[in-house]
Amino acid sequence: MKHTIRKKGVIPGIMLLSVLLFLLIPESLQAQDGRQLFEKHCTVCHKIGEGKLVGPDLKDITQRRERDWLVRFIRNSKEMIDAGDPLAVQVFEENNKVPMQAFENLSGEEINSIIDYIEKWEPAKPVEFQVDVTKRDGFTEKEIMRGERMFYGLIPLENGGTTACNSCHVTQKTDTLNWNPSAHELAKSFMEEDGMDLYASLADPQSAAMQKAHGEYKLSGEEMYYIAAYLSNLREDTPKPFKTFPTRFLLFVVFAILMTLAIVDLIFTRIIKYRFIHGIILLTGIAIHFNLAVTEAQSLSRTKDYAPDQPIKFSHKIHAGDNQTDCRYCHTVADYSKSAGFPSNDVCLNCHIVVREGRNSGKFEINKIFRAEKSGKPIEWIRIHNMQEHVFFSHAQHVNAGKIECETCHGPVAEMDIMKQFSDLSMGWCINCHRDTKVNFKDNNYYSTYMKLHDDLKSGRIDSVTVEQIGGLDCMKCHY
Amino acid sequence: MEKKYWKSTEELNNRNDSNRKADEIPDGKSLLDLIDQEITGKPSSRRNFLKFCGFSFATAAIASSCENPVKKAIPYLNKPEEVIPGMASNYASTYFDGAEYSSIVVKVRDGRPIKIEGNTLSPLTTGGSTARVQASVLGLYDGHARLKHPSKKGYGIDWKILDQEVSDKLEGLKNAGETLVLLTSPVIGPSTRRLISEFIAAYPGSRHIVYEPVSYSGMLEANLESFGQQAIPNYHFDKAGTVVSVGADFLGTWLSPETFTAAYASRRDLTGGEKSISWHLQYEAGLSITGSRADKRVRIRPSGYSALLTALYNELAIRSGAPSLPAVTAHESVTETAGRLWESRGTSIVVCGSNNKDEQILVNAINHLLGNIGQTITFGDAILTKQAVDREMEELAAMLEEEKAGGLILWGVNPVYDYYRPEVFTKGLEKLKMSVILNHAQDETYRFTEYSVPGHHYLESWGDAEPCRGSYSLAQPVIRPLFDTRAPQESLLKWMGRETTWYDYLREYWASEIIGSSDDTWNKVLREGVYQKEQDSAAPSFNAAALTSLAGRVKGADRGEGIELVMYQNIAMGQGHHANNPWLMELPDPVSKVCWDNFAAVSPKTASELGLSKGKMVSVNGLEIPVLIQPGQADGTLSVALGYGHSGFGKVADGVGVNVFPLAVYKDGTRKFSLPDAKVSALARTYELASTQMHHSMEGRPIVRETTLNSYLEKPDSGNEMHEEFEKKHVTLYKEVEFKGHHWGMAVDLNKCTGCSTCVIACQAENNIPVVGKEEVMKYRIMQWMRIDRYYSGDEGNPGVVFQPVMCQHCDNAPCENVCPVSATNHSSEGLNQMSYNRCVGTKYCINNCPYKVRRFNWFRYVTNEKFDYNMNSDLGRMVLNPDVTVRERGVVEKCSFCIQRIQEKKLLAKNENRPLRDGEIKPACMQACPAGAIVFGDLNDPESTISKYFADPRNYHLLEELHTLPSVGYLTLVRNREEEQA
Repeated sequence: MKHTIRKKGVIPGIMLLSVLLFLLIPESLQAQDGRQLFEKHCTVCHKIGEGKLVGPDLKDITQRRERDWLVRFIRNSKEMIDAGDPLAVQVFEENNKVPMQAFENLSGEEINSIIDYIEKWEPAKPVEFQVDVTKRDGFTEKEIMRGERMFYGLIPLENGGTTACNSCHVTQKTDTLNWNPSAHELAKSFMEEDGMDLYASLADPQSAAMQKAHGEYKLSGEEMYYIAAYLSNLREDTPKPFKTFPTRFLLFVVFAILMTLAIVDLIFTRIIKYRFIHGIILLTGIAIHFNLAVTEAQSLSRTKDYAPDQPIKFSHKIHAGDNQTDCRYCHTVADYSKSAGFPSNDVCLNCHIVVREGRNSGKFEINKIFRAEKSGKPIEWIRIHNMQEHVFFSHAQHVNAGKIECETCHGPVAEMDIMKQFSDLSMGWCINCHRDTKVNFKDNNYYSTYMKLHDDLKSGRIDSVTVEQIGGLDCMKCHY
Repeated sequence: MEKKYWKSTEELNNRNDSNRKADEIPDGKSLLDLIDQEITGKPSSRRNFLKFCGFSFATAAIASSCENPVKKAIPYLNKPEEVIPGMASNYASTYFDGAEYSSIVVKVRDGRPIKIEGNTLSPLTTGGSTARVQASVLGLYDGHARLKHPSKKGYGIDWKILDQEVSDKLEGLKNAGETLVLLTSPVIGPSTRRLISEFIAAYPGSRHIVYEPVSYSGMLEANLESFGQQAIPNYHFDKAGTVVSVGADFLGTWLSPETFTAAYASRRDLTGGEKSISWHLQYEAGLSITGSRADKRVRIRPSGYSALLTALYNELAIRSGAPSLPAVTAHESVTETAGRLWESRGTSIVVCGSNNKDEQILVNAINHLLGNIGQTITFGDAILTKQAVDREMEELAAMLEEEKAGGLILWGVNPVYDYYRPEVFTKGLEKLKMSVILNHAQDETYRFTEYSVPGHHYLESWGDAEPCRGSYSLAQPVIRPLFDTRAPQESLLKWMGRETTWYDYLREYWASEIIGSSDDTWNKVLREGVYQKEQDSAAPSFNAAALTSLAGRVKGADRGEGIELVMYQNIAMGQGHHANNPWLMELPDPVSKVCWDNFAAVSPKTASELGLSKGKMVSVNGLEIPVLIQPGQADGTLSVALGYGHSGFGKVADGVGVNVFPLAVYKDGTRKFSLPDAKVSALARTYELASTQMHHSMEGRPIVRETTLNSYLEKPDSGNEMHEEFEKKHVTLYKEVEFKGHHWGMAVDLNKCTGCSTCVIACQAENNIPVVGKEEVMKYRIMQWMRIDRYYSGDEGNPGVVFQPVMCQHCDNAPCENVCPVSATNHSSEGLNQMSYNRCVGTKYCINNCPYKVRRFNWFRYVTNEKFDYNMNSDLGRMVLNPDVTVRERGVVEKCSFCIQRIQEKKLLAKNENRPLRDGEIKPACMQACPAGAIVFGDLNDPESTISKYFADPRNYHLLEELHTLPSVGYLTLVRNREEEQA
């Protein structure tokens, strides 16, 4: 994280602060809201007004069943079925004999608020706008310009106040520290077929995260129209690359000039009388140039701390850290194969079929999984750990046979919101580890053929066997 | 030991080898001519030097300023359960190319088939394969020759329109009562057979004709007369103590070579303490690998087969009291042969490679007299891969000439190339109302047909096979079709108006006819690839009448006049189906060591009589062919390989060699590939053949050790006495290297090796070895990591021949390691001589210092260079590359690694399964492919391993062991079953 800040440049402090604040919002604030509760507990199996899912459609359920019966059923349906409640048994039979999960942890008040929500539910009325909400291109230059000014917060809103959209939805290429979708991603999603409905989501924010962030900004239809104009235009733009300050290059040039001047002065102009000054300049210059050359050469094709933007703002911290998901739940083949394996879309869906809203990023990022599923186009992750092609590294060897923890090479992944390359993956790094690491020699029957080493162990000549001693430094251990 | 081995006639006569090309660079060209013609056209100059400097500085600057490329990792959307990215899956399937059957296992890595292995579960092929089977995977990725979509008269056509048009035309033919002919290669799939019979039934008046370029028609018809069965029996060489072959190259190309090789080799095995081996006599004209393996080889012209067999029959008839045929004179060895055969009645085999019905009837009679029928020769498991009857093809030709045929559907055949009168088809096809070709790749015939309906490559399609009675196997697709193709069976079903798919048809057939409807059985057969059904094994009764009718037709002895032309199949090309396969094109023929050409082989004696020399062109019945002087060739004969000289077949095959199929003759009801009284005349022109024969010559040292069975039984180390001497001198000043874990070793049993070269192709496929082309081969730059050295001994006319596979010997005291200035090649802790490509700076010191000459240098970046337009420089062709082996860069040295990737894979598997490695678990590609089981690999530190037992065998020796290189490869001496050393 620290490194990224240095590398990726200035991050608005406010942004960081707001993210932190957001993380701290207690969940209880939303607890009484029937809609929230419904979405949290019920949507996995039920729909309202859209037909049967796993369980029946709940539209007008309060007209079909007694409220009291409903409360009991929600709390523990299986008990009712076992007790022989005829209605409960009927529901059970009608639904392929799949009993409903018991919700004994919900208070009566909470269940009632859910039922209230269902009772009061009405099909969403499309928000009426004065503008053409289907328009995605063909905006005039003026509209786009106005949209841009609005996006940058230069025009006060009709309903009062001003806001700079770009303070959250940045317009630069890299925005890895911002959980919110960048302006470009919004534009992309907006312009996609079946993409985001900008008007609907602005008028009625879907996720808790978005409700929180957008709660105070009530945009008029016309304002949304301008923002749509701006986004439609932005789609055509390529994002501006983020340039780091070329410190090393400047250092190189400055000393090159200084050294040239020193030599010129030494031989021709002779303005500075004290020759040792020339000497110091030249020596320092050579030292710095040499140092630059060596470090640059060494880092050729090495990518330690590489942390590219991923197509989804996926956080290992949330998954592996906070939620304690085992690495191998997603990287399934690490035990058997050379590669650890990128999780396929369906592995994501195992959880995200239920978890449809992220704590930090709302629905925008998770929706990408569903969109991939729908479009049939898998998500194209950016590969971070790139071994040279003549290196044959096997995860199975290290993780399964060698029982090396993932963190040994990949670093504190559970603390990384943005995944980065922790080790430099250089040959020296490999070799050092092979020299030091002790092999699980006695417990693995494979090593029973290494008679001579077993003898040495028994006779006490050696107390342990390192990878090096069983051929860990052979060229053809890794290169073939 | 005293025997003098020589590798070519030039060496024997101490003449200069005309093939030394690398020493002199022609036309002032330099090595760089392929890099930049313009620059190297001029003499080296300061300007050129600066140009190169500037270029390299610029590249370095650009390369260093570039950012690392962004690489993407794209996971599955829904990962199939059985696929593990980065791990290979293996699928059992079936290979059949119209000539050769093999039960195979296809290795699929990340969705791409990359290697073919033999299926060890098959009782027929028992895990072996041949060079052609190994190389067939490359045909899948032949983006140049494969047909990519259906077409009509060369223009692409939509499937729907095509189906409509063909169905309409078929209907038209049926209504007009005109004949439709379905011309196919042998159909061994039982369900396809039924499909074809249904198709024929649906179009009354239509015919199904099977055509094979080189058929076994004479045998089929002879067996019908002798045994009442038009079938080819199975030959059990594992039960045969005496084998007499008359012109049948049964270890190379005849019938079912991989099955025969395994069975034959099992009778040549002495490693288990056996006291006897089979006795093998070969009568033949050209020197085949089977002839090279024989204990006794007699040179005879094909026109003498008849007399020879008659004389042999008469000798046996006298012994058994059967009626004799009129006496003829034949080769003097017949009496001895008959005696040996008579002694081993019931455990002998006599085979004949001729396509003459009368000769095959004689062979049948001989085997009958010897009581071999039902013993070593069985009809219960008759071979079904040969079905063509030449007479039927002649009938088709007559129909085409007389314009009596209405339509022709061709499937798996290429008669414009391999029928002896191509003009029948080139003219006839155009006059037909409808002509359809179902082949999967372009060929000569495809251009003359109206509709091209490309089928799948065999790795893309479902199929089944019944190669022998009672043996079934399944073929399953291992990759989705790469192009817009359709299984031919699917096409036939569609044209018949059937709704069912080919897969459903196949399953339905298997369910109703073979295995029953259980899904479990089907899945089991699919997984294992093979299924056996009990067969009636009763020997058929012999009909002597067939023989008596022969009496009037007995031919006299060959008088030895004129030059007889013999057309044969060689190991690489066979009948020419795979001519566009660059691996096979560059596979040196095990005997002649020539690749990238066919040639006219003549014996030294005949050559001097005719005034021919190597590389001289001769005109043979009007075809111009370069000459190769081949020791062991029968005098007065001239052998030319079939399968070359394609045009319009693909960029590799076109224009390589000469097509001699048109020289075949149709006589007495069969097509014959030998031609007495060939018109041969020498031409002034000369031609250079790419030969690997003088490569890596090991001048006159005891590198192949040979003995006779009797000497071996007396003294097991006979012929190998010096091995002990050298072992005694095994001292060193340096600290001996200790191998604490494994110490890998390999042994080759020269007694089992037949020189079939399957290992060479298997190695090439496994290790991403590039093809370099004829020009480079002539400069000694062939890249194959394995080679089969062939040595002659004795008489130049009929020499003894030995084969010796040579790969890196992984010396424990390796000369190459000491001279590498950058330590790019060094020794591993497991006894491997390892090669680190990224360290190599290309000094080639190691190549020079290697006494075995097994190291290869990458003169070019073959993988991207357009000049090496074989398989590696296109995206499609590169799909065959093994991702577990580095593709080597220009300027580095490479060599056999003992298939280190397979060693590492199995070691890891053992570790993960918490168990020691099993002996024989690690199989290098050459070992796995070997149909004879001649190669053994294992851990020398394990005293119980097979390799340790081989190394302890008194027959074991090392190549050039006097150099004290301490190789990890051992060879077991060759033991021949003959009385005395052939001089």
